[in-house]
Amino acid sequence: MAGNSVHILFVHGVGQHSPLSSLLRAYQSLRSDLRSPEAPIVWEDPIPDWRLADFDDLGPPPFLKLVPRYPGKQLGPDNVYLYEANYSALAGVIRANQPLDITRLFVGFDLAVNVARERLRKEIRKEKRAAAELSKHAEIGMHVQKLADVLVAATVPILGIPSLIFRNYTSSWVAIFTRFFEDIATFAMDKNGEQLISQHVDRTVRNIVDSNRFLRAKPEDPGDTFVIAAHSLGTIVTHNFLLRHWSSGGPVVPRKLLTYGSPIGLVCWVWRFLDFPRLKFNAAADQATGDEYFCWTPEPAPKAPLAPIEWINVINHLDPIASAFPIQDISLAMPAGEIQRSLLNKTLTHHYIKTGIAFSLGSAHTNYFDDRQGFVDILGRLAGLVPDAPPRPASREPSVHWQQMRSDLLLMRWVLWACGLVAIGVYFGWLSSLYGAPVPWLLVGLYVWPPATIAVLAFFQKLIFGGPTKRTRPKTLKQLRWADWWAFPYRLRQIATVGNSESSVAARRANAIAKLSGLFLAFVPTIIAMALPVLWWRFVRRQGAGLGWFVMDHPGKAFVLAGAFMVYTMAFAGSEFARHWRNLLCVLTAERKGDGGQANPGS
Amino acid sequence: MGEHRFKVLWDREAENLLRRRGNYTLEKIHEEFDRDPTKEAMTVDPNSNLFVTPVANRRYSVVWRMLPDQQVARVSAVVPTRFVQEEVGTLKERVQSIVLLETCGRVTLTP
Repeated sequence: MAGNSVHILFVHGVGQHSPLSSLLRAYQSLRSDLRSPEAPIVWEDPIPDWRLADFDDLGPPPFLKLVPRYPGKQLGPDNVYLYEANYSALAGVIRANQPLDITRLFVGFDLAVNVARERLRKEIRKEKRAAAELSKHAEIGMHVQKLADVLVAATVPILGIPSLIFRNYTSSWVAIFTRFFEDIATFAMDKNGEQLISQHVDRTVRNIVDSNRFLRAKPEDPGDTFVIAAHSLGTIVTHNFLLRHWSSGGPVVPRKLLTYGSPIGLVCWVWRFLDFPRLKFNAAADQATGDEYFCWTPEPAPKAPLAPIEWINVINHLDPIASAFPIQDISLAMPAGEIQRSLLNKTLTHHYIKTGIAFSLGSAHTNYFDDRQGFVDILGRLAGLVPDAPPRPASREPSVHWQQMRSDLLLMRWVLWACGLVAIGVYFGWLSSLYGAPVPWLLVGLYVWPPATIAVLAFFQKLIFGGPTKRTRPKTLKQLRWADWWAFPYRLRQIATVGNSESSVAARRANAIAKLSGLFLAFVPTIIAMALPVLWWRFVRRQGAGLGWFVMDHPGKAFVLAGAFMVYTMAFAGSEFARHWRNLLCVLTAERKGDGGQANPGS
Repeated sequence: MGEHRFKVLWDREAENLLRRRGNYTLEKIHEEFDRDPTKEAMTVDPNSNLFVTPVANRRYSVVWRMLPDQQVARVSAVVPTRFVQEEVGTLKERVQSIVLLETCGRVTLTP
């Protein structure tokens, strides 16, 4: 009844992952319902016919071994080994050795998007033919630009002075936020980081297939099955691994690949948009522009035929990272037809799930294991723990998935807008009562429209931090148009020549004074926005206490008011993020309406 | 199916096997099996009216015998494994050996 062994490697995503966390989370999810607040009972176990036979927590890599309860008499493989590739500590050390400034990271990305948009605009003007396709990319680029703008603005309340004031309450959340983007930058922008993580994964896989647990294929025996299950950034790491090893074949190439919460579509598009003129992927070394944003080396198309892989990609409702990427993104260098031939049944299977409600945006990216009937069942089948008899768990209808995403994002936009209004209402209301006059309310109109709030915050962030970077030279920055609102602050900043030369970019160092003064400068526009009602009141009355008096005499009240203002800016940033994300989805899903609504966000 | 016209009797050994997995499991499987013992049932041995019925989303299999004279379905064992329809002789051998293993030889399934 039984076959050879299955070896399944879990590759985690961004963020801190303590050793064994990915491995044990997968194992526990395969055996119990982790959502339950009670300790599990036997009844929950979906695989009671498998027992844990070994646990090596040292490795490398650490593994769990499951064996059939009735060896030789039940369906499935002889053994199932679960492993993890944990590069979290490694990535943490890389960033501890060279901390990145997240504000500059966002501003730098925003600037790079500006440059790419401008380049594309010129290309569209130059070529009348094929302009339709490029125009579509330009439209997508515009939405990405607006999303980048929100990220730039969001760093004011999340990483700026307000966050320092409330650090006792927000430090862990800020740490998660920072680590999330640091990890992405470590693999996508830092060549050292990319190579170290890649080598770590290569070594982990080699340790698995070279171990005496792994039975290699022979002419008379297909050998053991190697499976990779990757989440989030782990899917990019795995994709990178696959492209480097697929053509050489052998046991390191997984026969089955499960990606979930994968940004492959998003990342491939952004890579082509930022680094390749006309978004045409080109692996030839002489075609490099020299101004690349990503640190990746384009891999040429493999010459040998590739071993077929079964690839299932799972997308959760409201997961902002997950993309239903097109087959082309599997290898940008290969024709789509050839890639298809390298996939089992010539298909890349997208499986849509829904684990949360309309406001599960914050958890949708990490809650895949909550889908016990869908995701966990698929994982069990790929691992050989559950017989893979048809039918497999049904996917949600893609058109319904994207439609509901759009409506939930719309709802989220309005609700967050309302939350922001309540927060600013509290701010104005309390300020008015403290001053005993309703005069501050006359200014409330300036604070009620999220696009204006975010635009002002982003404008000043760009003005303060938006100098040339190592990736965007002063010469490139000068090509941006004055008439483009999104590029305007960068051009304005260039008028002041300090910090705009190539040498000043190279000489820029992160020291505590520079960091603190940067934070303070970035907070000045917010202070002005917060103080405006007070200054207005003084202007109208031509008397009364000012801002300094207020803060010195009522530190507690000032603290609460600052909190209300922080909530206001964050809610508005969330509202704008939902708006632009929804608009982006509308563009992407509209382009494939004739395809049964199976849109490809990120394609 | 739903309605059936025979009584379901649980052998003490079958009850004990289930109770080892907790009364919650016992009740759930009782409830599901008693409702319709023939649902998706497979014939293990037609001569001795031996069947297996998958329960609990196919995670467990109830091994039972039909006593047509008395209109009784008598449950011999519940084992945490799933069976597939295959050649009757092989299935019988597998069911018997797994029940033997699970019950430490206390249930033999011979008529």
